[in-house]
Amino acid sequence: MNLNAENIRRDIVVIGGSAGALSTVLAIVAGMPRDLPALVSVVIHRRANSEASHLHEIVARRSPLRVVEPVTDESSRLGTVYIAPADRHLMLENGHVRLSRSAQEHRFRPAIDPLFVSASQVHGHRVVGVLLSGGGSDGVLGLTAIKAAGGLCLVQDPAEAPVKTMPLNALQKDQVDAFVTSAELTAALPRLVRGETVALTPRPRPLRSDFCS
Amino acid sequence: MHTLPEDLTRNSGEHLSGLICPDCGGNLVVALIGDAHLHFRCRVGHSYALLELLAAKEERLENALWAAVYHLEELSALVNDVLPRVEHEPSLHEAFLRRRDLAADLSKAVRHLIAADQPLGRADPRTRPEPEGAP
Repeated sequence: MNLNAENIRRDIVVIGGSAGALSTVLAIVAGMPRDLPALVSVVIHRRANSEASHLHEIVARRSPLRVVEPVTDESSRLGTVYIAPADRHLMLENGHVRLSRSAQEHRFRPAIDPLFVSASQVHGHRVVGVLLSGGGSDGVLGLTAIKAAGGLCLVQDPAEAPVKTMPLNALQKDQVDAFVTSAELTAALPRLVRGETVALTPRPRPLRSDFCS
Repeated sequence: MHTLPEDLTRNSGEHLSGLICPDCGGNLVVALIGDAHLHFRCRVGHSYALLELLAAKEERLENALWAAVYHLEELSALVNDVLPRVEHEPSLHEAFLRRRDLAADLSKAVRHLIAADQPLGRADPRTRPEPEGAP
């Protein structure tokens, strides 16, 4: 199957993950060349007191792109990876990244839905949403919004995700364009950013029952 | 009293539920998104999928039971500590002793209830992380 046959530049990359997502996030950012004109935003579920988790340093060490964990609202720039800080939702506005202590969603702050929904509202079909390993249902509503606005939705292959619930919850809905391995994601995202078509080997969509005894 | 509205149909928007938000106590509205996804949201913006709401309700239930344990044990200890002050009044002293012991027994019973309870969504093999660095 072909992803992005329309050759739209999907340069607004929003990534959400929870338990088990960090290694995939690191692989994705490591695969983005220094001159990639993408606005990348990442929400990984973290505790309110996790400032000392060094998430920013861990990602920055692997990323050719500039990595920013905002402490306040700021102008957004292409060629940058924005990491949601502890205890704040990260949202995209026109030309800005915005932080908010608005209510927890899915019992998390930062949560994935506020990032995905805000990205879809501002950037429409330029958005590619990526939902990775984790428990719960955060991100499912966000992917629905991205899809409805003409964006592209990718979900980590549950067979590969250390925690499968979140990818499986997303795949139950019809708004997902493809489920992909970490390696496929890493190769595909820079090409989608540049508006190229990505060919994927078709395989049957995994079902929840495949992973339950 | 129904917890979910009877006229809940696919993509028909948000409906008032008979439920309160586990995080703030506000009214919850519910929407059916797609074929199966129930999504709950309260006035201030706390937001839950069905299993997340159930997990939060289970958590609130356990908290309430621990609050019961606390109140029983505090009451029993308080009554015990003020026993000397009612020694001059035998009938009151007797009532205090009975209350101290009953409250202590009840607290043990609630502790047993908590220990024996089996909340939904715990130790789900699908959600158990394999050994990889979770953030």
